[in-house]
Amino acid sequence: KSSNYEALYKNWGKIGNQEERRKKLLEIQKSNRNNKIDRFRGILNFNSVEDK
Amino acid sequence: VAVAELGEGQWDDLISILVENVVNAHSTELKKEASLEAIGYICQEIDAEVLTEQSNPILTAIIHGMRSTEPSSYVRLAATQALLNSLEFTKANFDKENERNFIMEVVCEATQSSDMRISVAALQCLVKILTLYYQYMEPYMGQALFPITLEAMKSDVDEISLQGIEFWSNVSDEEIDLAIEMAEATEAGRPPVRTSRFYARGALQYIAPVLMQKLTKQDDSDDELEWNPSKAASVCLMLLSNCCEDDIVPHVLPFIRTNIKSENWRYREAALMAFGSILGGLESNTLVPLVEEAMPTLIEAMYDSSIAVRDTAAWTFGRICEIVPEAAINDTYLKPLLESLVTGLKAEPRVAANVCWAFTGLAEAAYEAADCGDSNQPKTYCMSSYFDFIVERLLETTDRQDAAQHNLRSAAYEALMEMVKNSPTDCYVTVQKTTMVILERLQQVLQMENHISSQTDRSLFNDLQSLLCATLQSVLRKMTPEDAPQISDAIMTALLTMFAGNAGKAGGVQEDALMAVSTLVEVLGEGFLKYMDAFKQYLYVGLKNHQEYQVCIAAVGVTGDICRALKSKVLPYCDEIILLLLENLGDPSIHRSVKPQILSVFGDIALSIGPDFKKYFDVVMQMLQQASNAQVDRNDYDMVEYLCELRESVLEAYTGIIQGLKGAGGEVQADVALVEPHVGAIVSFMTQVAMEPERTDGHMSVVAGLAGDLCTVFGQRVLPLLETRPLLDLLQAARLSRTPRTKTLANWATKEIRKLKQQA
Repeated sequence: KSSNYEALYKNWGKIGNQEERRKKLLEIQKSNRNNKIDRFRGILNFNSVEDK
Repeated sequence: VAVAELGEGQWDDLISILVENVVNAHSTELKKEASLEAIGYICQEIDAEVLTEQSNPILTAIIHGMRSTEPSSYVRLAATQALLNSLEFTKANFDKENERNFIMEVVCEATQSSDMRISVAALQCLVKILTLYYQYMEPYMGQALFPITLEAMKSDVDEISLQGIEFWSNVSDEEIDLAIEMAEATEAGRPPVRTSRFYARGALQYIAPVLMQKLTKQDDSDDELEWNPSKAASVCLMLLSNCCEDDIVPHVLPFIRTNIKSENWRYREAALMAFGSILGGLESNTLVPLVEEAMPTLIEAMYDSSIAVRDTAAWTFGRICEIVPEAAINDTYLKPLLESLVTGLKAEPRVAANVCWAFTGLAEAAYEAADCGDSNQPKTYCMSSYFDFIVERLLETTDRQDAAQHNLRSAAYEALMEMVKNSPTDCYVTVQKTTMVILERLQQVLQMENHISSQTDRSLFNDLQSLLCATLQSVLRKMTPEDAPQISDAIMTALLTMFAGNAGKAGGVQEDALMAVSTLVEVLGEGFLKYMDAFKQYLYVGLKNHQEYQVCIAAVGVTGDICRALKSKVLPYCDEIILLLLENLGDPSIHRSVKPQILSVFGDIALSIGPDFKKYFDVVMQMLQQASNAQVDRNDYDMVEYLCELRESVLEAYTGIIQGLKGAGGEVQADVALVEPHVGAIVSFMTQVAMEPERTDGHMSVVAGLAGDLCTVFGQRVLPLLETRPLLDLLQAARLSRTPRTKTLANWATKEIRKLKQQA
């Protein structure tokens, strides 16, 4: 008695968002890296992800 | 044994022996059954391509065993289950009409078996056949598949009913994918590879009433976590709604209206469930008035005498917040809605957990609707006056004695994190207060470390530490630069204690703790230096954790953060860090996803220590060149994605190295001359990336930036290398990018090239 769609039932598929946290942190790190490089270039000043 | 040996090209006669056992008229029933079971197990475990060439004899044996004339139900069952496991590699047989017809006939016939197990296995085959061979189903749908599965859905036998429902969930899911493929093809101006036959839309009027009937057959024990037709029906309605969109409304709405206030809780819950389930597929014009009309009834349902009704009402609010947030946060209903949700936090764990998810959605919806003015964060929002109270109640919920049930503790912490993350300026005092509460809890939990005796307690203890670290990350992100240093000592002490304790050995805890350090480094900047001597040993442990690659990735991430924050002050730690990063790159057993992260961090290190990077230059460049040459199987989507990531990281590393050696000031430092002998290889790699069909926006951005950097550093010497068709085409495409940074970098690089040409 199982289904491919059990995770869609109510909030069964939402156990925690560690995966989302990982993704978010990697995004922030990438954005901070880009900002730093752009400051070195002296041409850009983009806001970081969390500032947005 | 067969799975191991067949894959190696050994035991060639095995399949023919098994097949002979099945088709031989003199074989005993037991021998036939055992041989079919063996075929079934082999098919289940083995890579499909290994057996593709032997699909004919395998199928012969299976179909032989499945025939209605087969006297033994054991043999028939084993054959049907074997077919289920072999469907992936019988594509060649499905491609031939006569063979397909025969297989379908035998399977459809088996669905009618009086032996429930055979009937269920045959229905499972139909579910799988539909997904694998959708394009061939048209001749069978109207005459066989539709009536068979509709009858199965109606069955009072749960196992049969579940397969009938699963079939239509699969149809809907498949047709949602086909609709997406169609939209993509239309956008690209080409015909789609596969097309939808809209079976779900056609069957809607017949299957929706059955599904709603099934919704009313909830488990008597409300707490039951077992999958049943009622739950399956809710999910099927959800998929049907996504597939058929507004067409579903006339088939479901009358049921909702008739039953939402029924005296029987089963009908009230089923009506609510139907309502919550169909929201996802509706057009905004249909959805908004429907939800607005339902709000008072839904709020009332939060106080229902039935747990199941309250549970579903709370879940429905979560759906509304995700799908149509404006209806949940509107002035008329927000206050009574929040009151009902706060009351729900004290209800049974399953209800409270769904309430927490509703708060998670609500927090985001309210924040996104707030007016930011010119700043990055709104000053206030519609939940500001309730914020402190809600956070208090969520903190209480995380502490409930029964919070381990239904993931309530985790859901409450997640809601808390979302509330903090999505909080406006006027809620900052509560954020400060919450930070202190979390810190205190972390300290308390750490003191409990020595009192843990059982494995269950250890697991709960580890989960709690992970959740507290995760909550710390979200409160730290909200901290003002003035407040952060005031609490950083206490936070770092707690995190170091955690790394040193037993929990720090558990991958999940270590990863969350490292991610918390990342956030602290980001908030403190150079102020993190004072913790480096105490922290470095744990950073190195994380970098050496090859088995738990997520921990290793988190440690690599912190390394990059530290470099960016400490700048040249990271130098004393670089020898050890570089050594560990190189060791990781050289380890063939390390998970591939760590490698791109490491390459990017080389760029961070170079950028931080500038001229001092010279001593690592040769070995790092060698690594980058090796990574540039990496090739993967282009048919493997995951590997192609990995290759894209790897290439972007190589280019990021080149960028960091060039910028770092060039120096931050306007004047180009002499050290950058080290790169000159490699410029040809770097540009050649840029060109290769530019020409790839898998070129991403990220690639365009980093190639454009690097092209500009090469111009500013090496001047006219690089012009002939850069002025090639692939790179100029990339710059042109990047100038049209929707990502502002890519566009700006491409414009800048184009101007730098133009400047050099004018000088020439």
